[in-house]
Amino acid sequence: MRINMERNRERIDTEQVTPEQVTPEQLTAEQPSGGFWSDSLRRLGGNHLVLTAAGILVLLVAVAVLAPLIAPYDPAYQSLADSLQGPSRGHLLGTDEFGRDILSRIVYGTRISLSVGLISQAIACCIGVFMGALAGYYGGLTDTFISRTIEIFSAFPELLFAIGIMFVLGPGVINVFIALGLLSWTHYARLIRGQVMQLRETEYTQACIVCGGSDARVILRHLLPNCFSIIIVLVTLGIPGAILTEASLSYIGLGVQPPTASWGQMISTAQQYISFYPYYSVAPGLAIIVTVLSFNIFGDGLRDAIDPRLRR
Amino acid sequence: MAAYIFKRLAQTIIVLWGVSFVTFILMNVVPGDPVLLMMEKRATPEAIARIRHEMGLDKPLYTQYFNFVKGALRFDLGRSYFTKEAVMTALTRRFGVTLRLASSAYVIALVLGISAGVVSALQRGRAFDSAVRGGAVIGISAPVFWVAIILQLIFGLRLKWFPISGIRSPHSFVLPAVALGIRYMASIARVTRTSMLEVIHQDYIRTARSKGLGERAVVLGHALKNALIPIITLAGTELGNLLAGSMLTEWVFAIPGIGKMMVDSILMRDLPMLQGTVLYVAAIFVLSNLVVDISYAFIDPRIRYSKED
Repeated sequence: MRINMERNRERIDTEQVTPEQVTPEQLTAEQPSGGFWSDSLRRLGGNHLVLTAAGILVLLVAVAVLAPLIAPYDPAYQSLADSLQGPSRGHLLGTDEFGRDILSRIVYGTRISLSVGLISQAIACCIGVFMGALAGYYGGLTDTFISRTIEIFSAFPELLFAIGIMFVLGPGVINVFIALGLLSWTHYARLIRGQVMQLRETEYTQACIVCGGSDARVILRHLLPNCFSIIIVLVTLGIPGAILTEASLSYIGLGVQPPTASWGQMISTAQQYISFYPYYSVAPGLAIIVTVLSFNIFGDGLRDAIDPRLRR
Repeated sequence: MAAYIFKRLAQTIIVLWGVSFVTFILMNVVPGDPVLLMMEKRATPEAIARIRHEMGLDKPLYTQYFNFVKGALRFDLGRSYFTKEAVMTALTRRFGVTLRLASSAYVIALVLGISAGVVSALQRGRAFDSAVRGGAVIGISAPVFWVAIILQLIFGLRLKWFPISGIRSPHSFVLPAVALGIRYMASIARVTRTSMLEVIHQDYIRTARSKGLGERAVVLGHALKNALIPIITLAGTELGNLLAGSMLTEWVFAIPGIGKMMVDSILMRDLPMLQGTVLYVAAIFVLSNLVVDISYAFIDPRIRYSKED
């Protein structure tokens, strides 16, 4: 694939006009905006699907933040007399086995899913960028050691690894953050390592090294800022995976524990009542799909806008 | 070529060793004494000490690890705390079930995924293409266990076409295989579409057309053949994921495969069983990646030559 890309680029190059023929006016006419970020944003803004996904994400964040205002009931309020009732005007999505309002529990579940996505990826990002930068910058033995560690960590299928860590740590939200962070740092490390290796050879980096810049300065001031766009794309595309894994963990009973409302765990309970009360299973599942779908679409759009080469 | 295979084999051995190490560490930092877990509360200290000695748990950790690796190399992964069955026997027995489920799901995913991807690429921008792209991104975003439950609800409970649990008839594999396959079908369709679109405007496709080849020969013989590389990579890595992902599906449909065995051993805190299963699944995952990498080099000479340099 790499070779195909090179070939295409050559073809484009030969078709382009030589630099001498281009006047500054022409350049600005062809590229109305300058700057990497404004260009990316412009490309992103042109895609309606991606914008819709972004809108839904903003809405979801608002729901999570304003949960107490939006939820019609207290998510923990039990009323056994009203248990397992279908959708009605009082309870738009019905009630669960303890008579709790399902809509309110889904609204509060947004908090769990979004925070799991964001915090786990923040943890993964910190570990991965650190390890990747070390491996890419120093090379040699450091690189070999870190690369093998990455390989060993990626040798476990993701869910299996998450289950193993949760088994050791015990259930709970904080442990889910840690487990999912440990699970996905390798994605970051791998890409950052490659990127840093390439950037290390650039003239401005070499110049900084020659001028006596310390390793920390070179890495923090020159290399990592140039990896920023990749990191943003990775975080956006990492979140939906983390949300799905959290749902799976909570579904098996190793993740978020009751009475905290989590979508995966709601589906797990709802499964017992599926034959006579299907609404209960459908609603949290749709919530997961909408959230993960929006992140996936937004992430893909962001990747294509920022750097299409990241497409795997 | 031989050098490349040798290098990959050596890497795989290192990774497998690392996997055994990580698995062992994970299982040994689990809180709670396994002996106390399996014994009655009233057991005498002498009895506990005896069991501990029998299971080799009184030895230092490095000896335990050494014995674990030595056993694993001879396909001996210890015995279950509860059923006393040898872990390896249980694994082989249940692996057959998981393999049947996973391979059915795999076939569904490959056949439907690749066909959908190819047609979608050929019909770029039309209704079918949009449907495939939309369906694929939804398929990737839906939790496997939820899809399984919904399939149970519609085709098992409402329409009563298929049984919703167990493995009594070949019939009962249909819903689990579809539930498991959907996700992989979606990702394979996506990659096939992208890869086909990259290839289809190449010069050699135009050449093939201009020398009068039929559309069928152009698409299958020239375009798809060259678009296969990323699809094979994905199909290979997905094979391992599929085996591991069958865990949730098996749990939902009460299918006695490796996945269900793993969840069961977690709930019962059966450490040797869990340790063995994790090692087993991880080993399969690593080996299937190895096979993919090597077959890669066979298919694409560019990889072979660049690796030999």
